[in-house]
Amino acid sequence: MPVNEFLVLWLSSWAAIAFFRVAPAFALRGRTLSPRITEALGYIPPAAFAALVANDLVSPGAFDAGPWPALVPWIAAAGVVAVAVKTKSMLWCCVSGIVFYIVLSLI
Amino acid sequence: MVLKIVRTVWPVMLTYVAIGAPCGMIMGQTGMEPWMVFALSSTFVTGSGQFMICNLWLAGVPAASIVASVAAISSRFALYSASIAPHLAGASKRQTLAVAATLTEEAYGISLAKLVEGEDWGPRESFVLNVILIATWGASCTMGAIVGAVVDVPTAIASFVCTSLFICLLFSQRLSRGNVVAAVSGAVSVAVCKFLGFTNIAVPASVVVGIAIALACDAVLDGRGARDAR
Repeated sequence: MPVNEFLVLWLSSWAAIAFFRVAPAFALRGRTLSPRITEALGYIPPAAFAALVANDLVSPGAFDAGPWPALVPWIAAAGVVAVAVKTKSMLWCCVSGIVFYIVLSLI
Repeated sequence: MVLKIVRTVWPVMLTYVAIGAPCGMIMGQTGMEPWMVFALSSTFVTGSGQFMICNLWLAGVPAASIVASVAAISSRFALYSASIAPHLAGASKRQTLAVAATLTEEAYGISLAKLVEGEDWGPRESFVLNVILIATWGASCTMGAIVGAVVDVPTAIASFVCTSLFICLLFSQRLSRGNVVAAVSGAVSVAVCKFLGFTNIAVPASVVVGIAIALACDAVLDGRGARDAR
């Protein structure tokens, strides 16, 4: 990654993260967020994580190389979902994801 | 004081090492030097944001779209910061800044519990806890990047580690009607964007779509519920 692009990515993202970390602590001293804003902020994680998972799994040209290569990430993801529901552990999800993906790719 | 806090958070530190090392390996795969990994890890201190940057960068998404996506996912810190604010009422501005600027999810959970308990815990302890966790995370990611430069990890597998992490984070969310609507709408919106060729803005646009549909759904159903009650 070129240094210039890294600096743009890093500093811009950090500014946003720092703002979200610091601003409410100062702005809301002695006050509370309105329920509507709290509700909207609360919907960000599920919407964002679902969008990221879909972004990784959905590929318009995935079936060009045949059905099996396109299905591998979907089946592996289904396995990770089962592990996530059962354990809620990031570590186990990452480990099981790698194992599922490698095993399915070898078939 | 440091030892006392380490005794409290060592399980979290172990988890940070286990997640941080692969995260650093993936960051190394995007071409980041170890100093870049350390700088980014010890300022972001958010696995999801770091994995997101790597994932979207490897997918060729433009920088502006990556920043928008990271900003969207990091907005959850506003909630943590807002909810910890009342417990920092007695702290000075400098202490509030120090605690808020170094807040992480795990540190937030521990600090909030301790501040609510109120026993022998204040802004100073919260800040030291944050610093210990940030140092652990930054060092783990950097070690991962250094090791990853020697060991060759295929991009598809490395990328699927991110997918697995996002699945875990998704299924760690509270199972409520609004969350399900937001998640399903966000995922469907990404698919539609990608099939229409709007790959670059698929993630940030879909987050907004997911939130908007969940809020609209709440407004309609709650309104109907109120009408039915009358």
